[in-house]
Amino acid sequence: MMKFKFLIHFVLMANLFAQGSISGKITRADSEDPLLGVNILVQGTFTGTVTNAEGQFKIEPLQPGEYTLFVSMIGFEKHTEKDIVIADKEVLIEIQLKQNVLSAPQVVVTASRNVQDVMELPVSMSVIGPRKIHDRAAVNLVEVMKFEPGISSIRGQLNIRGTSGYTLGVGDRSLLLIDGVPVLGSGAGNITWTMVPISEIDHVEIIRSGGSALYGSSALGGVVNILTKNAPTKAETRFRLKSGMYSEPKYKQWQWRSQPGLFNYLDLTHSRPIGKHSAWVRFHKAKSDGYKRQGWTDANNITGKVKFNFGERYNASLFANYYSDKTALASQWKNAANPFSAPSGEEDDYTEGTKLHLNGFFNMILSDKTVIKLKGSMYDVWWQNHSVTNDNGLDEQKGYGEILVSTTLGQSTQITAGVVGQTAKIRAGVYGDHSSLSMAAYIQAQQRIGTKLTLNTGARMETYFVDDEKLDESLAPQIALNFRMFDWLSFRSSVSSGFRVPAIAEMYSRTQLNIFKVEPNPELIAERSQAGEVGMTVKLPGNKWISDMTMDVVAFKSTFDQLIVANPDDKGIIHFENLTDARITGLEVGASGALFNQTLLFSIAYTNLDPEEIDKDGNTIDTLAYRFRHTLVTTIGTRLMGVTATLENRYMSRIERVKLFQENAISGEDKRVPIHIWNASLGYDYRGWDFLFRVENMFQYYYTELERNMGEERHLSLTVSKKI
Amino acid sequence: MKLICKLTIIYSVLVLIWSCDPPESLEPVSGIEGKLFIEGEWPDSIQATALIVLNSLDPGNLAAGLVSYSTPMVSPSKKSEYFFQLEPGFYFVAGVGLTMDPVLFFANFDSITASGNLPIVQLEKLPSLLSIIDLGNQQVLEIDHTITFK
Repeated sequence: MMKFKFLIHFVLMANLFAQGSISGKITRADSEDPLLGVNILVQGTFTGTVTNAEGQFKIEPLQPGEYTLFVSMIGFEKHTEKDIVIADKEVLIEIQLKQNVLSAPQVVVTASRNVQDVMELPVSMSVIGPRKIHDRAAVNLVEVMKFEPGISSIRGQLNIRGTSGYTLGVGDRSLLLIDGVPVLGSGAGNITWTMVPISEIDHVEIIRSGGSALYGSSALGGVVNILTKNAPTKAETRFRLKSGMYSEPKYKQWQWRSQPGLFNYLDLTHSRPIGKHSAWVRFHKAKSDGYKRQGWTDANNITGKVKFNFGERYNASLFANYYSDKTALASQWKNAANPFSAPSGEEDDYTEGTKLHLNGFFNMILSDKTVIKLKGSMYDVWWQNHSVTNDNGLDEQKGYGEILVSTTLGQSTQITAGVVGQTAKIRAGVYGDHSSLSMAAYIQAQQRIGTKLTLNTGARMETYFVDDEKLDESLAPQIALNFRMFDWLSFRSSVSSGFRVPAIAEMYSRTQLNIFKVEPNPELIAERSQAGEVGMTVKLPGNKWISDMTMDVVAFKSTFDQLIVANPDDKGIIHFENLTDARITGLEVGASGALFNQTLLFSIAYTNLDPEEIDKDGNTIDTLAYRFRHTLVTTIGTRLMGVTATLENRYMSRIERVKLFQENAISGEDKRVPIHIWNASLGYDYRGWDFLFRVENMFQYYYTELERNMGEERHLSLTVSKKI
Repeated sequence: MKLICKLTIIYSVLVLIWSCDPPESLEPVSGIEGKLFIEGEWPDSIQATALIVLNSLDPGNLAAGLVSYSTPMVSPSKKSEYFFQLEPGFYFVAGVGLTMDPVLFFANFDSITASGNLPIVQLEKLPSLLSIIDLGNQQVLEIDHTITFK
């Protein structure tokens, strides 16, 4: 009997200590060259690694069992290596990755705060890879995002599925994350997109349905998560210079300056490994004369990121971003006869300010099943307005902290839970002195049911205090289902509720800019939404003629209670009010692919919105202001003899309803037209020097997104970049 | 052969684009712009002045031909700028005075006009209104206007 017990004990101990590993090599399918920096993740765990310069990797230790590896790298097709059986030895595998000309990442992290295959996402998401940013020589991320389904902007204010409309740049309904950590908006609750270090973006993930269940108040309309690059394994310096000029208006009556307006954008980045750690630092200078009299800007930006590696189980990251700018201030044109000029007396108005943003995280992998993440963020804003109609400023500090625990239960369930605290202090001439505090707790479970179904359930509870008084308390639940019928076809459906507490600016602003006078409304309450969607993603297997063909179709419906709207009264004084209930139903269709042996690339995105103000019984009262009913963006590109050529078109139907200045049929004032913009670019890579010539709005189409604000004039640019 | 095929496709796409009807873009407008000057001292009864544009002239009922009006200039200002965007045609411009606070007037515009008792007085006599403005297509005329208070 004693011997038997000892035998059992020995077998158990042997099994406990039996550990294996997976190692191997990853190469390009076309040339068999090794690939550096390929991400490899063991499905259902937090264990992973990246390949070295020889394309080699090793994952250890692994308990005996059956594993699946996700292998991904931007620019290549995702590879899934299934049924790897680990006993107590090293398993060797070799994988070849096929190049993917569309170069969007196939594995994402934002939708459920965990690594997921894009075909198994519970909600609609757009992913923007570095190629799309490069091909547009973008300096502002919004310019790239506008080519994704469901996304538009009005005067730089991001609109995901028409959720935001235009609210004077205040109270964005989209949350910006950098490396998963919120970039806190100022008291105005808006996002400073020019702060985003666009040259250092690895990829961008955009949740297009509401994200309040995971990310809270600001994510009512969606989430934009920017994943920045990690430093490479050897030192490198990169620079990018974009220079160009604005065309003179094509009508002589509108021409307003004797010299063409110029713009220059410089990015200089150095990145290097520092022992086990790595870092990059980037300097950005932006100087533009603008296309209109009050369109100039002069900005400097220094960004840095340090990634710490403390062995296999601990890593951390620190990100710092300092931005200072002077920017012309204009509320509207002088008049319709002089649409590029500023109103009399306001020709020298400008704002100046500085912003400092720090964020960091610390990851502790407790086991291959459990990870703890600590996240922190700090935001300091100083801003001053120099205007003839007002001369006020703002000084604000915000802090954010989050603890997140994620664990895998068994083979099929992943639980993520966390607590969040956020505090802000604001001293502003426009709003007065105020403080706010929010506390939240959330939980999300992702469960695989069989081999084809993934169920996501989650909820977030959040409490808000303004000036030490409780403003609101909200619970935002979400349930989402993904059914991956085949490797190439998946369906998804989700229902969620969301909320957004009013920004300090919406409650307390008292200001005047030109003829616009804004009065405070401290009685504002949180707006709430219920959203649902049904979608389908198809990734067709390629052949010689068609490859990388992806199609995504989604129908959605969102209803809003007590939507906060900037509403001018009879005297023209604007109040932010819980004006109305609203309903937005819509359809998004996106398709992309490559034709003729990957010579001709195309992408197309169509969005249809039906944005309605409704009464308590759900009857339509009117169309919601500042929404495009139809948006169609198309891109075609080709590569011939080393030359890349791209042609883009962006169409948006005429905005049906505005709030500030109505069309006057008798006098012809404030006419609104649909938007048709054509862009073209031509790129060439010569011995490591990358040249991109680009023309935007090449047919000089004139339009207003916002009343009495002329859209951007045609501009030509040459971008030169080089990696040393 | 492949290259010819690709070039043909690209050429076809470009021809298709160029052959489409050009979309309706904003174009230069026609209108009248200038400065409005006040000479003399504002009478106590007038709280603001404005220019109105008429496309027909009925001395007994100026409002019948009203097309547009400028942002009111409040007492005791002496100068302001104005711009009227107008369709091409014939117009008259006249200065009028508001006998009540313009903010209150516009805040209660509907009820005041419904009462039929407009707090507006004509500040210029008919002869000065007879200078007809002939506005052409995409033409902006610069006309300064002076209202004289005695």
